[in-house]
Amino acid sequence: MTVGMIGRRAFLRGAGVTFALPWLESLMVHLPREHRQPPVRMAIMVTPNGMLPSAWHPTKPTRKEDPDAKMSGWQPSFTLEPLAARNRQVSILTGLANRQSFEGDGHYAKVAPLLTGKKIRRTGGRDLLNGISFDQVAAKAIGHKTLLPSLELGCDPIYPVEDMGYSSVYGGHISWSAVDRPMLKEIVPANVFDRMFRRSAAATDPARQSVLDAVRRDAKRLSARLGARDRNKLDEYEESVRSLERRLEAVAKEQAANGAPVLQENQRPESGVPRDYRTHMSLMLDLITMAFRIDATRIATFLTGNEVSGRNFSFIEGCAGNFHSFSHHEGKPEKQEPYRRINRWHVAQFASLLDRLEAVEEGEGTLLDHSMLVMAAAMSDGNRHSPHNLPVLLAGGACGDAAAGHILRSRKDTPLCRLWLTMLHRMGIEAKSFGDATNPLF
Amino acid sequence: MRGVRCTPLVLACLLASSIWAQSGVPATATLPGQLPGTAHGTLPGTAHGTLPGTQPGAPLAQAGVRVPDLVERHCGGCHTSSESDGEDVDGDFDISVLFDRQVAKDSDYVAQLTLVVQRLRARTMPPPDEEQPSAVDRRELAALLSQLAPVQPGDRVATVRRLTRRQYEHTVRDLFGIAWHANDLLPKDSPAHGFDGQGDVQNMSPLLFEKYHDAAAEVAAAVFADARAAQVLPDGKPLATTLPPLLERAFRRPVTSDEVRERVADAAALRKAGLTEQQVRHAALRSVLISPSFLMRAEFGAHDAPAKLSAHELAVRLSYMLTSSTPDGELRKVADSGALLDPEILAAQARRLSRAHDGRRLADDFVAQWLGLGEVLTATADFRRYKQIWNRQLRPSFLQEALHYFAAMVRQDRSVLELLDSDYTFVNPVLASHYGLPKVEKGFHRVKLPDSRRGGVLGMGVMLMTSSFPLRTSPVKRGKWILDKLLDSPPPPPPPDAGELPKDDKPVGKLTLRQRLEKHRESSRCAGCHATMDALGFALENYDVVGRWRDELHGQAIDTVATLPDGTELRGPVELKKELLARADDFVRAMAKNLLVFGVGREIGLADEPELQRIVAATRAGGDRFSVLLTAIVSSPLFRMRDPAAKSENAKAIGGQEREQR
Repeated sequence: MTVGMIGRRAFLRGAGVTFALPWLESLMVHLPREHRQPPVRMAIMVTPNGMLPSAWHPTKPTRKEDPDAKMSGWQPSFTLEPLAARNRQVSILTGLANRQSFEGDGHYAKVAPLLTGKKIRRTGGRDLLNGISFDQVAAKAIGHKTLLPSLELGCDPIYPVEDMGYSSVYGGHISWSAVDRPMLKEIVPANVFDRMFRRSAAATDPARQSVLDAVRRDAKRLSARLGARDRNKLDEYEESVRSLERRLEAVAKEQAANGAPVLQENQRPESGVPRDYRTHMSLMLDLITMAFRIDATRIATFLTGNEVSGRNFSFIEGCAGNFHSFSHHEGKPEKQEPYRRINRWHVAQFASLLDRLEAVEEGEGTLLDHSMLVMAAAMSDGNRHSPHNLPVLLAGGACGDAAAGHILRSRKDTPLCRLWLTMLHRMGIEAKSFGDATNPLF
Repeated sequence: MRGVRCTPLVLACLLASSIWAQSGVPATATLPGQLPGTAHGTLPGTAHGTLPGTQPGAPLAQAGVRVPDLVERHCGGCHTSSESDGEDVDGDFDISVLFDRQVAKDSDYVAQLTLVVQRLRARTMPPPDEEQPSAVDRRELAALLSQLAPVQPGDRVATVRRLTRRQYEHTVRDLFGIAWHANDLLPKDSPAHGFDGQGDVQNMSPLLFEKYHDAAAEVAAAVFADARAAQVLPDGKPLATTLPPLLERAFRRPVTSDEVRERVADAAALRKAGLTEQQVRHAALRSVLISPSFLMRAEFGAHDAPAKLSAHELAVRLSYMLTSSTPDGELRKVADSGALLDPEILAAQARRLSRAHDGRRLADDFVAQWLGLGEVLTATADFRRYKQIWNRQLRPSFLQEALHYFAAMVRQDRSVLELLDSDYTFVNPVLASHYGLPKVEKGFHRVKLPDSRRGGVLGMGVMLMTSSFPLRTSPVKRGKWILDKLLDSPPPPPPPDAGELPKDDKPVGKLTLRQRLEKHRESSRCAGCHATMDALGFALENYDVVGRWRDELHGQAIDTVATLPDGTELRGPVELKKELLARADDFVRAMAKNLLVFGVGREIGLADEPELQRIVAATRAGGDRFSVLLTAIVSSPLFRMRDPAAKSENAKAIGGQEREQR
C-alpha cells in the first residue's frame, strides 16, 4: 500500500510489516554502544473523537469456552479485531477516567489534560493553565540520557478555532512541559528525521556556542525589563536555548566518538506533510521505531489527529465524510458504522507499531520487549463527549505481566493517572504521586 | 413560552465561540421526535454558562443595590429576585446582582456580565415578544453594563508577541531584500480570538527554537550568497560600524552600546579561535536572527511613562498591523525623531502604510483571517453536480476576488460598508463567466454590476462556498457566518447530541430542507439561536453551493422569505444587505474590534467597549471611510497605550506595580 506512495524507494519487509522507509537496516550500525541492558521506552498514541463503546469492549472467554484462556487472552471486539493475534500481548484497561476532565464542555477540555491529570483553565488564550504531562516529568528526569529528551509527534497543524471557549492550543497538544507550556509537536516526517540524523552541521559549527551565548545575553537583558507575564515567555525562550545547547553538545560528542551517521539521500522521507494520511501515519510510526531503535529518545507521544478532527477517511470503505460528524452518531447505525471503522483503523495502526517494534531485535529480545505502549482516547463515546471508562490499550514487555492480554477492570472512574504513575515507576522514576493518583495501577 | 427563550444551554453556550462550522460539521438541526430526552441544562458540564441566580447558593443582590432605570425597565420585568415561576431557569437570574459590588469580586463575574451583554447585542434579550429597546437604548444598555467590568492594571497589557510565520518571511524580505520561504520549516501559528500572532498562545519550545536556529542558518546563507543582500555586513568594513544599523533595524529599536560591544567582542573571539571572516559574519548574522529581540516584539512602554508605548513601539505595532512586516525607512525616521508620538503624524503614517503594497498585505493577513477566506481553498463541492469545481482556478479566484476588493477599498479609501454592499466587484475571466458577467481580459478587473444581487462579501463565491456543504447550501452556516464575522454576535455551539440535517438538498420524503429546518426550530431548545441564524441564511438561498445564482431547486422555486425574531421580513439577498446596512454600527464595531485584536495582540473585552464605541461613532461620523476607521483606531488609547487601564498621571506607578507581580 505504501509502496506506491513512496515511488521507487525500496522498502523492508520483516515480520509482515511494511516500512515506508528503508533506513532501519542501514542504521543498525549506529546502535549506541554503552548499554548492554536495553533501556525502557514508552510511547503514548492518542486518537481524537473517542471510540464507539459498543464496538470497543472485548469479551473474556470463560474457561469452559477456552480452557487455555487461564489468566490471559480476550475475544476481540469489532474495533479491536486488528489486535486479535495479540490478544495475549495487549491488555484492555477499563474503568479509567481523568476526573479533572469531567467538567468542561467540548473536546479540548478532555484531551489537553489527558496526560496531565489536571483541570485546564477555560480561556481563549490568556493564562493557559494545564499541568505537566507525565511524559514530560519523565523527560525531565531521564531525557538528558538521549539525543532528544522526548519526541512529540502529530499529523495535524494547529486548528484555527476555539472549542467551547477553550483555546485551540488545548486541542492540539497532549504534552506539556509546564502548566502553561505545550510542547510543539512535529508533523513533518522529514523534519523528525533531520532532527535525529542531520545535526552534524550545526553540531560541528565552531561558532555554535558563541551564537547561543549572544542570544542568551539578549534574553537576560530583555527579561530584566519585562513584567511577569512577559518574563515567563522569556523564560521559555531561555529554556529552549539551553535545550538546544545540550543537544548540540551531545551530538558533537557522539560524532567525535563514532563519526557522523552515513546517510543516503533516499533514506530521508520526502519534505512536507505527506498527502496521503496512511503514508503520514506509517512514516510517523517508522520514526518512533527508529528513534527507539537508535536510542535517540525513550519517550514519545503521538497525537494522530487534533481533537474535533473532521478528517475524511475515504480510504476506508464506507467512511467518506467527516470523522467528527460520524462521532456524533446519535445512535444511528449509518453513522456508528463509519465511526467504528475509523476507530478500528486507528487500532490497526497501533498494532502495526507493535509489529514494527517486534521486528527489531535488541539484546535478548526485541524492541517491543523493552517498551511500554499505550493507545488511548480522551473520550469514550464521542456522541456525548463522555469522559468515563476511557478506551485504553496497554502493550509491550516493559509493562510486565500487566500487558499480557488481560482485561484489567478498574472500579468506575479510577484515576487514569494511576497508569501514568505506574509508567513513571517503570521508567525508573521515583514519583510518589502523579495528578490525582497516589498509587500505581499495577 | 418563557422557558423557550431562556433555556439554560442557550446561555451556557453563548460564551463560547464555535468550532462547528469550520470543522465541517453539518448543520446542527434535530428533527422533533428524534430529540433525546436530555434537556440541555442537565447535560454534564454545561453549568459554566448559567447565571449567578441559577446556581445553588449563588449570591443574591444585597438590599439597596441601585439598578439604573433603563436596566430596570427592560430587564427588571423578569430578572428580579422575586420573579420566579420555577419553570424558567433564567428568570431566576436577578439582574441587580450585576450591580452589587460584592458579587463583582466573584471570579466568574466578568464571564457572566459578558454573557448578558452578548445576549443584549445579539438581540436575543429582551425576548422578541417583549417590548424592544430602541437602538439608542440598546446601545446605552450595553454601555451601562459594560462599564461594570472591573478593570485591573495589567489586565489589558498585551503579552509579548513572537513573529508569525508570515511576519517572519516578510520581515526577512524587507530587511535583506531576499525572498526566503519558510515552507514547512516553521510551523503554523496557534491563533486566538480569530488571529495568529497573539502572544498569549505563542509558546517557545525546544523544537520551535531549533527550527528558528535552522531558519537562521538558511537565511544567513541566502543573504551572503546574494551580493546586494550581503551588504548588510560587508567584507572589509569593521563590524563596529556595520553592526549598529543592522541591529537597530532587526531589533526595531535603538540599541545600546553594550549590545554592540558584546557582539563585536564575540566576533573578535571567534576570529582569534581561527574562524574565517566569512564564518564570523555568518555567526554574527545568525545571532541576530535567533535573538529574542528579533523574534519577539516586547513592549516596555515609554521611558518616562511605561503605560504608554514609545515611538518605536508604536512604529512596530503599526507596521506589523498594516504590512505584516518591520517598519520601513520613513516610519523608522519618524519613530527616531519621536514625531510619531504626535497623533496626527501617527494617523498619517497609518494611512500611508495601509496603502503600501497596494493594500494587499493588510488584505492578505488581516482580512483573510477575519473572514476566514483561506478556507475556500480546501472547500469542496460535489464534482458531479457542480461541474464548475473542475476548474482549478475557481477557488483561488474566489479568494483573490475578496482580497482585491478589500485592498481596493483601502487604497481608494472607500466606505467600509461596501464590504456589505456595493455596485461593483473584481473578476477575472473565470469569475466573469461563473457569475454570468460580461467577459474580461486576463487578470482581475473591477467591474460594475448590472443589478444588486452581488456586490459586497455576501455575493462573493468565497463566502458562499465556505458556508456550504458539498451537496447543499447551509442557511445555518451562512447565518452563523454573518452573525459571527460581520456582527460579532456569534451564536453558541450546539449541544453534542443536537443531531444534524441531511447532507443533500434533495427532498427526503415530503419535506424540503427548508421545511425540515423550520420543523427543527419548533423545538424549543434550538429556536433561540436558529430563529436569527436561519432567517439570515435563508435570504441567501438564491446562491448555490458554488455561489451561482439560482431561482429554483429540484423543480421548486427557491423560497428566500424569512422573518427575523423582531418581525423584520427579509426577501432575498437584496433585503438582507439592507438589513445589515441598517445595523452598520454593529458591523463597524465588529470590524474595528477585529482590527484591534489583530493589531494589538490581545482579546478586546468588555472593558474596552467604551473606547470601541468611540471608534464606531467617529467612523460613522466620518462617512464610514476606511481611513477614518483606521485613524480612530490608531488614535485610541487601545492602540497607543501599553496599558489602557492606566491613567496618564499615575501610569508610571502602575507600570511599576505590574512588574512586581508574581
